[in-house]
Amino acid sequence: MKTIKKLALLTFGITLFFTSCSSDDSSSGGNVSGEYSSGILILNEGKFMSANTADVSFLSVNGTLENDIFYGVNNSHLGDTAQSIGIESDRAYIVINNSNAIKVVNRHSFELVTTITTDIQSPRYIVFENGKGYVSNLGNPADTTDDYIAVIDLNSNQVTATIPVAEGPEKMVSKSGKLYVAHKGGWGVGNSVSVINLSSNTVTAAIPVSDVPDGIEEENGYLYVLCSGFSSWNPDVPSSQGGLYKIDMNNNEIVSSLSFSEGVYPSHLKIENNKIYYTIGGNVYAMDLSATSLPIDAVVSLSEVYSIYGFEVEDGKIYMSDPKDYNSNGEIFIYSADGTAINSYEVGIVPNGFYFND
Amino acid sequence: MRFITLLLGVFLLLGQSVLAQDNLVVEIQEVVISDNLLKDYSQTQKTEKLTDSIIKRSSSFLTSVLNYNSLIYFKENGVGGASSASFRGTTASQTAVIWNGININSQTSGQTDFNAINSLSFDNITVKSGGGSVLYGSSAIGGSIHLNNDLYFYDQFENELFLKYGSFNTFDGRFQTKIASDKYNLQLGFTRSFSDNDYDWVGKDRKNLNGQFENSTFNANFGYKINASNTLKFYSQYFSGERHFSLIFPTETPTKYQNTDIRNLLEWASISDRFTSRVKLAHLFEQYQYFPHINNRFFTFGEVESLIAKYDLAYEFSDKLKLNTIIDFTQNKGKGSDIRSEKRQIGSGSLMFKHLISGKFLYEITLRKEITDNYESPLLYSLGIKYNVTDFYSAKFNASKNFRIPTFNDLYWVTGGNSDLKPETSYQAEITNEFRIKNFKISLTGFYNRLEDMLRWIPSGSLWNPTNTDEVEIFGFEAGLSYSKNIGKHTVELNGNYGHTSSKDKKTDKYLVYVPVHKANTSVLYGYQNLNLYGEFLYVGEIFTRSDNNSKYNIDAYQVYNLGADYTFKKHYTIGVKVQNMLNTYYESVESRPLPGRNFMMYLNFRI
Repeated sequence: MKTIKKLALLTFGITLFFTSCSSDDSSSGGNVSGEYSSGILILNEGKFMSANTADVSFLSVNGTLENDIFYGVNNSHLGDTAQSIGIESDRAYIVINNSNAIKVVNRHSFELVTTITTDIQSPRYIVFENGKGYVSNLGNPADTTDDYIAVIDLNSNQVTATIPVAEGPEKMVSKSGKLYVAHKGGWGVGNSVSVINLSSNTVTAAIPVSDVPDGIEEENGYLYVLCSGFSSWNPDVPSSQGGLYKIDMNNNEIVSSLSFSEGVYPSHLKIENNKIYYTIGGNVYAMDLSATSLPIDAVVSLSEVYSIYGFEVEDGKIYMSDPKDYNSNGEIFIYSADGTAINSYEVGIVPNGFYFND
Repeated sequence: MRFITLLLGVFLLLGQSVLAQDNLVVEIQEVVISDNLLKDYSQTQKTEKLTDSIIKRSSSFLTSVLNYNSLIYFKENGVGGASSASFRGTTASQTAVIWNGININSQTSGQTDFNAINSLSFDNITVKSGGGSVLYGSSAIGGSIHLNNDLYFYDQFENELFLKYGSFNTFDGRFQTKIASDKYNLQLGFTRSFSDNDYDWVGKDRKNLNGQFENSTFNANFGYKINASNTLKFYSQYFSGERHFSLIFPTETPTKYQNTDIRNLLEWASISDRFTSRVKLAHLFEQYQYFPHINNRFFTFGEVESLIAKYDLAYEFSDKLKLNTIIDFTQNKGKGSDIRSEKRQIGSGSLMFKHLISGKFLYEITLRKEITDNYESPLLYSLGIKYNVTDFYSAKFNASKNFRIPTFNDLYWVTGGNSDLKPETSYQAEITNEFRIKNFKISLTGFYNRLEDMLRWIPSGSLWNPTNTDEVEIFGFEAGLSYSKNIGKHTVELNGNYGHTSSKDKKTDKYLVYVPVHKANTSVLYGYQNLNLYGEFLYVGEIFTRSDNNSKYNIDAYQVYNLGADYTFKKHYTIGVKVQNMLNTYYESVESRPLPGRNFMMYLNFRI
């Protein structure tokens, strides 16, 4: 869907964005601490088709914020449209979607180690298993049949194999030598989870779920998948409902599922402290792992936010980001798990994710 | 059905006017243009005509001609990349481009890509500043650009070949033939441009990658004087181009864009004693194909076919009092990979009245109302006054209400189009003071423009929808100076423009992005006999690129200098050279899209 959105933007030619958001300059560039061992990395995706707006903000444990740390440390820009980060050992792997690149940095100093570009095309997310990195790639945006998972040797930082998969691989979970890939969809609408055996690099199963699986998490031997459902604007194509699935990872069987109401399109999925968290627009919902029905009341409601873009729950805190008009500095909000506001910060352009660096 | 009724009406009216003719022979001007309103109802605003010689000295894209000769700011994604205009602080779809009197802005995007038009295919280009929606319809808010082909009715047989070659393997060529008598005129023209466009980024260790482009235009224009009072004109243009979109980072996936435009216009002008009637029938076809990977056949596309029928009846009460009524019918039929297939029909009626009170004072009043079921259309109007206070000083005033209608993308985009939209509206006023002292001409203009219901795509849930949301207020000041003098074999010409624009979002009090507060350009020409030396200068002030006006992302101000010379021998042959960006300055008009450093071109013109 993201690809479609971007192409949509591009085919408009020149987009007209100008609007709300009040803020002052948050200048930086060169003037950074270079010490990022304990705190939160906030990835600012940047404006699609721009060279200098994607970067990383760092919020230290004592609450001080540094913006543009990659540029500050390396004096070069990250790339065009930073999609996600994966942290493994001493390194952070920053996945740059539109630049077809993965920037590997030292996660403590944020110094650039290398850039991986060979066999990376329209990359989305990265996970790790047994000394290897697995990157979901949409491939050539014009081709729905060339999507793949790239296998990266973390010692050589080279792609050593590619595993062809169904269209639109996005978020992944790795567990016990297996990789579970949510096919959210790129050009089309995805509705399955692939299971890949990592010793043979082959797809061994495809678990059908409802449309647009956006969130995937593992907990106690079960895989939880949140599907947004498909919101259609074409009267000839029906919309579909979102759903939450619990899958037994031993036999790939769906143990239970819950359906969202028509016209409700949930996003994200986090499991923390035996609770499931997800978002709908600017609201956060929480439910017990064992619950048999969806919650009615939101635990957090950000009334000024159209849609929570980055979302994370960790150590009793809920982290949310607001991209505002996608053309100016975004904001992040930190709440306690019971829904009390703790803090908020202005970060970079289009903040899309939180990564705990400790 | 409505179309047929309307056509019928048009022909009935036409019949009457033909019948109404009498035997009086009316002098028709030797040079005729189809854009009659530009001549008749644009005297109370600023207009600037750019001639063929100015066009030939520029790069072939319309962007480059206008950048050095008007105060319009261009947001150009590298040479040849998508290029949109900001005219007097307005947005990309608030400048109308008019081809021989017909509005040719894209029906899908609402704007014209100024790097998708080859300026060599026109005889002259007029830049009209300020609102003009009554005359030219949607998007004539900041101003309008008029691309005209002139027809002549006198004996002429002329062939012209123009060839230009420059850095980065850039070629522009035009062949033109004009055959005319006092009865007919036939013009055929062909242009061809291409470039590797792989210029070095000044001060950076890389080139412009995947920037190559090519385009061809074929023009055929035909005029026939049936008799002293009836003239038929036919204009036809075919444009086809392919541009690769240059890469921001070398590792990005290369993309390309192809577009085709076919424009046909038939006009029948009939002049009787006091009546002038013009029937215009136009057919426009626009199509784009976007390839997300250059080596893959997959593409997304959009195309719109438009039919326009216009009947313009003018009545001259006296040589000082003139009234025009225009009935216009437009049908647009669009389809595409991302828009629903839709047909839209718009009818409109306009009234224009011009009154010259003595040789000193003139006023114009115009009105226009559209009828369509696609959106609620406001009554548009304008009032203009021109007062020649003394023989060296004149003042102009113009106030108008203008609009920009929602596009096919806004209304019918499959994922998010909103069929419940209003047009953007603009209320504006301007005052121009003009001084002519000896060889100097000085003009000073102040303008105000309030924009309401501005359309913006905003996210709601996972989708983006267009909404009438923004309000913008623009204040501006423009100063122009021109000087020209011949002393014996010497000629000196000087032109300078400066614009100061404050364009702010009313809700946030922030400047609009990609609107410079300051822009200036000057050109100087010195001629000795058949030799011309000329220089061009462009200054663009700092630009905000983020809606919160975060200065960290601003584009720096820049100055560019060009220098050229040409020599004409044996009257028919001209040879010229030009160095562009002679100081090798790094500059960009869109972030991360550098424009070329020092580069060269030479050109030859044969006219026989």
